[in-house]
Amino acid sequence: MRAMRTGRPAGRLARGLVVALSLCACLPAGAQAAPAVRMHVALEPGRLGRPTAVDIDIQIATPPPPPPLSTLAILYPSQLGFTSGELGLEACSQSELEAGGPAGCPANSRMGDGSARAQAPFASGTISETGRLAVIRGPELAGHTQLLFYVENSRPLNAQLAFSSVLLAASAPYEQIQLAVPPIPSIPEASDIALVSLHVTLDPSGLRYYEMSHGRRVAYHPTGVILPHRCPRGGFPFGVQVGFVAGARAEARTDVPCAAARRRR
Amino acid sequence: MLATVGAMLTIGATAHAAGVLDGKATARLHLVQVEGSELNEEGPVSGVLTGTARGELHLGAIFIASFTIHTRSGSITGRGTAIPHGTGRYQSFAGSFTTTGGSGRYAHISGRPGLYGVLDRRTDSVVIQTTGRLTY
Repeated sequence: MRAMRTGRPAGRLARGLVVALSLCACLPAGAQAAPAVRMHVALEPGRLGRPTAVDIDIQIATPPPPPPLSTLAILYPSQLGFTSGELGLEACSQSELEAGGPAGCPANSRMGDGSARAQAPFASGTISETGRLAVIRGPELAGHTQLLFYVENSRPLNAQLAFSSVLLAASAPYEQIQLAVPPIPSIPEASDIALVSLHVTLDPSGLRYYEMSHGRRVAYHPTGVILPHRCPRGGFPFGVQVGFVAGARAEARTDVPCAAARRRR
Repeated sequence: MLATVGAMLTIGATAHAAGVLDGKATARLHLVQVEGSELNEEGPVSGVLTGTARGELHLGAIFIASFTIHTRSGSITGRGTAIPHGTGRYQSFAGSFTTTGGSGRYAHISGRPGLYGVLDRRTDSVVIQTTGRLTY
């Protein structure tokens, strides 16, 4: 597992933040309070035995200044195979993603979308920016299935970041998507930019794949995450574990109730 | 994905008088049912062991398979783990499986042969091969 950053992002993001602060290059305040993380997960439509989109929202709450992350692990029930279906039938290499963004990758490598919010702490205040997120199937990495999280902020910073993640086994009943978050520097002697929220929808309804049929290129919606016919007791368990550069850790767990899934049948 | 798919499981092993199966086995299974990330599959077994196979294949960060092969002489039950490799429609995997039980002629079967296969992620059909030595 490794993290990567596109050639442009950190520098542009840093410069943009500097401009936004009108050259108020003050250093951040010192001590950081204990961070906390919240998680909310929805399955849509969430019908048992049927394909579903998985909507994951992670919010990192910290007193200012927000501390930068070093790792982020999304725990999901092993019963939901994020790559067992047709999601990510093709792979996009890091170089392809860096060069052309998600549009430069095969359509059949798209697995999800969402948004990410980052904050840059300064003594005079905190700049917050939200960027679009794309989840792309990457090539195998050190024997593990790789997902690339690509964040693009078109306004006003025009910055791009790509985070590599791998699927790993975890203690039952989980498996995990483990991201390594690279440092995102802002200005010299200021704290790194911190990721404070992540919203991911895997297998969104608008996802379109393409295949050749009778000589024609035909679009279809891939069959992605399929719910089992039976809900586990207590619901489908999810969790998030966050590690911060300063060494602190935070985690949250949540269960998506089975009752909600049954009612939609 | 829910469509039924043809499957093949081939057992290419050699039976010895001493009760040893030593060789390569290949099988093709078709999808019966999807249970989340678990595929229930079945299909014919051909080769030295002729019969049918039925099993579950959990597709996660690690593939976990458990299956039973039924032959006229008895059944063989095993459980295996394999690491998936590559991307694309056809995903290969490699690992090993351990026999966990048997009946009839294979009541005392034991061994830990290699487990290899290819999964068609579009149709959920899977071809499984085993190589190695089993004693019974």
